[in-house]
Amino acid sequence: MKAEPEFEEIAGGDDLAPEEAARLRHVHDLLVAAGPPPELSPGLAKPPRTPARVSYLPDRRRGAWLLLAAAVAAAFFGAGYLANGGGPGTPSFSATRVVSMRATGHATAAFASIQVGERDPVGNWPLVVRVRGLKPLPDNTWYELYLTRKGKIVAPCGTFSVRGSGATVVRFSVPYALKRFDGWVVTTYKAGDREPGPVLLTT
Amino acid sequence: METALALDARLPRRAEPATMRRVAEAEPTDEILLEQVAGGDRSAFELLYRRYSRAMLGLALRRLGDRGRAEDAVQEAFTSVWRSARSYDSTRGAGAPWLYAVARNAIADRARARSEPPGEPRDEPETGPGPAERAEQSWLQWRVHRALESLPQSERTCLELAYWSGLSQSEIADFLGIPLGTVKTRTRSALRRLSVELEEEGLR
Repeated sequence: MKAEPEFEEIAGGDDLAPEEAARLRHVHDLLVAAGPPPELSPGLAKPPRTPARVSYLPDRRRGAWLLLAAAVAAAFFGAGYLANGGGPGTPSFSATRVVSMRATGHATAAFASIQVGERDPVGNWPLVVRVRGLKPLPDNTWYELYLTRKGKIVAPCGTFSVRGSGATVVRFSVPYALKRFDGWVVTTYKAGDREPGPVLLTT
Repeated sequence: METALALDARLPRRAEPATMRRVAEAEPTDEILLEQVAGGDRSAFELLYRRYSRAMLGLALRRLGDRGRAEDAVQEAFTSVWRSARSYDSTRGAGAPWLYAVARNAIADRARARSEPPGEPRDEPETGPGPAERAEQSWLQWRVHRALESLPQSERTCLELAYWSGLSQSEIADFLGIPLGTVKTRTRSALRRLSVELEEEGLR
């Protein structure tokens, strides 16, 4: 057993450039300083059960709020039902994976996630995009989600607007074979422009 | 139809400079996970747990010294995360410091709950690290342990064996049944990934 791990034996070598060696050695020093992470016992193999969230509304007012919420939900459900021609509702969304997006220098405080659902029998992929931190845009300008391949913007997935500083959630459906792409970006798009604006968010 | 034609017409001819990660490998950030947890997403909660449970346990063990109480503190900390995720505001800071604060509070609560008679005051001054150094060390440990969880399993195994098992590189190769060169490659790759991860977290 050795007293302390040595960088030269673990990762050193003549083939490392001095800068690279210094960078790795710094990580080595941090690892040595931090020490080993503890192993989880079987009792910690799974997270704790998630208790029901506590409502902070007083009982007397909670009933009124619940009634109001139920009425609003019923109104939205009715509107959606009518908008769909009274047919069966849209299929429920079940994400198969989530892709996170981070901001570029053009939108430093923004971030987004894309939930990718199951491909439908026709070949469309449902997406739920959740964005936060993008600014509202002037008229005739929107944000646009694109699929990319090898750094190139290839296929548009849909446009959206945001309002206020909260999260915006939008649903898209794309018919492309997603495995042919390797990333997503969000840009601005101005009506009449032939090319998208700067990349604001990227995977 | 006109819309479709318009879309095709404005497809760009130039590439945008952007660093791409493969879609399949991309994982949601802590901030996104916390938002999803705030919305009641249990799978996001489980992913956060996988990322942070060892770091939290390390912190609790360091502060409490007792494994049983440390494990209780971890459970309580994650229950707090679930309950209070809605109070997290990503515009005010990253997810890791918020989780660290939640963990510290849970651990402090557990430490206060200790029913122990007050001891005699010490006569001689303490020689160990002061509160500031201890806090800095805890934070460093938290970030490094969290960053380790971001590594692919094969690389993490090589790294953990190299640093904390006492095995030499040749012994690790024998132990894992892989060539020595692969051990070297994985170890260096792991260190590079950690370097990027810790740089993003401001530890470099």
